Amino acid sequence: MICKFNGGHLGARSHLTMPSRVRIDELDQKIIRALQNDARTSFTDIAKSCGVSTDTVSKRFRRLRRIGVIVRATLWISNKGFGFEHLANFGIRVEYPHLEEVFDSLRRMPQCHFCTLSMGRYNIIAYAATKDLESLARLKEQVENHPAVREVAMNFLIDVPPPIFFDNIEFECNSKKWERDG
Amino acid sequence: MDEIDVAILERLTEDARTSFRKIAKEVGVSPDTVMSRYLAMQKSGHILSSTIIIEPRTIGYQALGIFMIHASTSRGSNKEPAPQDTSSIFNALTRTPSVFEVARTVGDHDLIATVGARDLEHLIKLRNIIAKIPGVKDIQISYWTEFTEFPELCRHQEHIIHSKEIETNNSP
Repeated sequence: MICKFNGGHLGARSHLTMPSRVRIDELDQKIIRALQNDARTSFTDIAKSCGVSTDTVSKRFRRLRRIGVIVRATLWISNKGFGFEHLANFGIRVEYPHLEEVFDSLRRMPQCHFCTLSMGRYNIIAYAATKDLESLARLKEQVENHPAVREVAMNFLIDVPPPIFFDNIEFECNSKKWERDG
Repeated sequence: MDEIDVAILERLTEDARTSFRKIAKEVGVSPDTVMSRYLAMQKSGHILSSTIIIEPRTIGYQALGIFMIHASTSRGSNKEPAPQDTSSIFNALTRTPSVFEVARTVGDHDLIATVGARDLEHLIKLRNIIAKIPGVKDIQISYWTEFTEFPELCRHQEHIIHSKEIETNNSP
């Protein structure tokens, strides 16, 4: 039951080879951007706005899926709409001998929606969403009371879910230009 | 929300491009019903939009990271920054390339920016750009390379759709 989207961090996928970089041209980018804003946009509409045939868009889409750029088309569901009003970010610093143990127990908590091992100030980053503040407070207490946990930073998100800025995604073929400008 | 709504959500989170006709067949209702249920869930705020998940590594992002930002206050270090201070930082972050998600927060930090980094050099460059935004006082950075999907926000879907089930499972 626990999110299948959550399982990849140390689990099944980590033994796979790193996805290789691929060549993406301007048309691919336009298709990606259109679908990021609305995955149900018809290929005919995308084709029209790009000045190519529907068949071309359809072919490009299939290629982008095949080479693994597009993982899947999905819905963006509102936490708030389903009553998960409270979303908190956790930065957790754990003593290394107990890192995996704390990480695994966090991942198993149903209210913990995202959890990853990380480098830097915190070695675990997690997000938890709950319907009430009390269960968030309990979660924090639980983490803090673990003897191997040295530090817990907690931040409540004001906007749930926070906005995503698809336009800020830079495709590698364009990045050289940005580096020169920057 | 009833079983039909949940069934529609399940199919569309698996593939948002599934035609309403196909969903209708699988669920055992008319395509019009699927359409009206979909629109109703959009209107009620259950569905924000549909989107595609991309694999960041294929377009050259080797790591994702979060920048936890402290905003400075003009009124002494122990006070919360004024809302206008954080909103100007927020606006600057939303215009910064490779910053994917910006959240205003209350707690140990004032803002959290989720970024994509091409390599270590790029991460440092991003740090330098963000550190120069007026009002940014301190940044704590964590980054990771073991990720599967972007936007990772979609991680919530299954859990949220089946939240009722989970509540029942958890109750003593």
